[in-house]
Amino acid sequence: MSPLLQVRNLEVAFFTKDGVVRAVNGISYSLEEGDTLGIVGESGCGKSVSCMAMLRLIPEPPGRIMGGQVLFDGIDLVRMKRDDLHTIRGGKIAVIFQDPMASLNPVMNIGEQVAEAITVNLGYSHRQALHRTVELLTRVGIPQAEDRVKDYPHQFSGGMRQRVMIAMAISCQPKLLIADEPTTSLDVTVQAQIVDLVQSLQRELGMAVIWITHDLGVIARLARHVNVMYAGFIIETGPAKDIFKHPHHPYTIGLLGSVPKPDVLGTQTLVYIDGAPPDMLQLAEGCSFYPRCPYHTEQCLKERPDLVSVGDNHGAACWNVAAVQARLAAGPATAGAASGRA
Amino acid sequence: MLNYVLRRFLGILIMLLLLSFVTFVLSRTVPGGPFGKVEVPMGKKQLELFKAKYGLDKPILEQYVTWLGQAVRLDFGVPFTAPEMTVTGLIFKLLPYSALLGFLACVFSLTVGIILGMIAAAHQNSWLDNAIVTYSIVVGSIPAFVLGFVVVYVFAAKLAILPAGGWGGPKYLVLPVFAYGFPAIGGVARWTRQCMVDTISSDYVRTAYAKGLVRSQVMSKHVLRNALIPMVTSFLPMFPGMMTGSMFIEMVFGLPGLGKQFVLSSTNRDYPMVLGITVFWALLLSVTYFITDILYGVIDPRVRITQKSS
Repeated sequence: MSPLLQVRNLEVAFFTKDGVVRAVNGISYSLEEGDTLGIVGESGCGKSVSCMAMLRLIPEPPGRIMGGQVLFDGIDLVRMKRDDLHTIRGGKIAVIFQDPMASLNPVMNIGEQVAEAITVNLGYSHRQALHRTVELLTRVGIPQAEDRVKDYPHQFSGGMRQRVMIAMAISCQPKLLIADEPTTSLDVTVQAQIVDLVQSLQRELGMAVIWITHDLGVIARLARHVNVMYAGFIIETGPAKDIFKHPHHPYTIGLLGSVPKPDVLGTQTLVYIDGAPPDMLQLAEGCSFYPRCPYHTEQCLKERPDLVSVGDNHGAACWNVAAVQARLAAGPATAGAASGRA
Repeated sequence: MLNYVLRRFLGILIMLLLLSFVTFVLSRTVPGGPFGKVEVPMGKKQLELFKAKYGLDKPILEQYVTWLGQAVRLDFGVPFTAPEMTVTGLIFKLLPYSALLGFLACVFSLTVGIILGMIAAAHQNSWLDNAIVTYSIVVGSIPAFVLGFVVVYVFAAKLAILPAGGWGGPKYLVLPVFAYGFPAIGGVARWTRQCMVDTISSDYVRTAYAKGLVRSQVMSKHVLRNALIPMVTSFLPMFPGMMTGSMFIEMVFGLPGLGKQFVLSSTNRDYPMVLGITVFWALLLSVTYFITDILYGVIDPRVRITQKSS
């Protein structure tokens, strides 16, 4: 059986006044039905853009899909006519966005907003859809849902708004749910509730989930497979367990090293990756991580590394995988990252 | 809500009081007077008699208090230049011309401007968009009275198909409405475009697409209503604004409206008339702003709630 989603060499660029921003540079991966994929990386690494581009939700212009394929159930979304995309969006692939306040229409009550998805995708009557909306809102944990359908987004808390977004996303039982940093704008306590909610809904509905985040803790909890992105490339990919236990790319090593660990009070040292994120206007000829990499060699500057297998289903795009592992074994604490006082 | 209405009315009253006081003092301290421009110069004694008759010999504050005492009973006095009428009577006699001119000019500029703005927003960053934006900047920079002279020259003097000025029926309004409304198109088009573009690029519009809506559904259910909020709040006050701001156009075309009367009253130092028109205009403007704010609450649920709780 072919996978639910197959992304092949997807390339996305933005044509801005300052030049061409190469946001996504030929990424490939696939996702089975019901599976969970985590995409990690810092801001601007292309993790959100690559997923929004699949659904063609990036502003065009200035954005443009330069090449590649996105096969969903065997259909190439990149070549699909813009007017036909609505048959996929919402019904087959649904999205939860980062900022639920901005992502909900401020002048439409939330009942209408959820019901709308049901009427356009499942052909329900308005009354049926509203009835179903109350069920959905109750399911995602909104108390007194039958009264609250008439309320507007500004009358909800951040966490409740995100629950509304989730209700909207699962309303048509999609095969794939893209969660685009859905917990970033929420309180820490609420974050955990939202993660739990999505996880239980995934089990219930059997949908596949792509979870985009820069929060490694969330990825560790729910993803089975992880893609680490940097400067528009997937620089490491593999089963979550392997990535967390044996990271191979210096960037992944640095990323994992920079997660603060509970320490004796006052002695906490924050570890960070030296240098600045890459300038996406001028893509390096060689490895994009070169300027920040403590292991870089001559070759890294000249040639861009491809993903090489470093384990079962585990790949890293680095010329010096072996050398990095050797150094890591010698002194694991701060390898791949600089350290400093917080 | 009642609390809110009362507070707004109090605000309007205080504003009118301040405005009338400033206008009163300023207009009467400007050099010259109502009796300066007569054919036969008056003697000193004669002038003093006239001043005493109209109460102009008293201290200015006392004059203001007297005026205010009558004004609260809606008696704004008698125009110096038309003693057979009252100020209120003259205002309402001249108002229809200015109101009609302003209203039609508004309708004209809003219709053309909103259509242009929407076309530009729908084709954002295309050559058509650029052309409309450039055009609206150029159009918006032409002063109405300059355009007035141009259209009079072309349509009245050269082609002789429309009257150059004065009043004698609806066709006397064609050129003034065009000259007055045309420059306003620029601002309307640009603001409409801005409101539409801001809304189209907002996150909730992306959400609407993400849940499977087609473009026409997104436009009618999500974009229009949201874009309308800033449009209504800035376009509604245009009506009284243009009804009261037509003095140049009325002078150019010799239209017998309030604007022309205001200019004449100012040069003739017709104090009661200047004051009457000023207060009337201020009242018209503030009431419109008040209505706009109420309407704002009707279309935007966020405002409705804050008002309820205040």
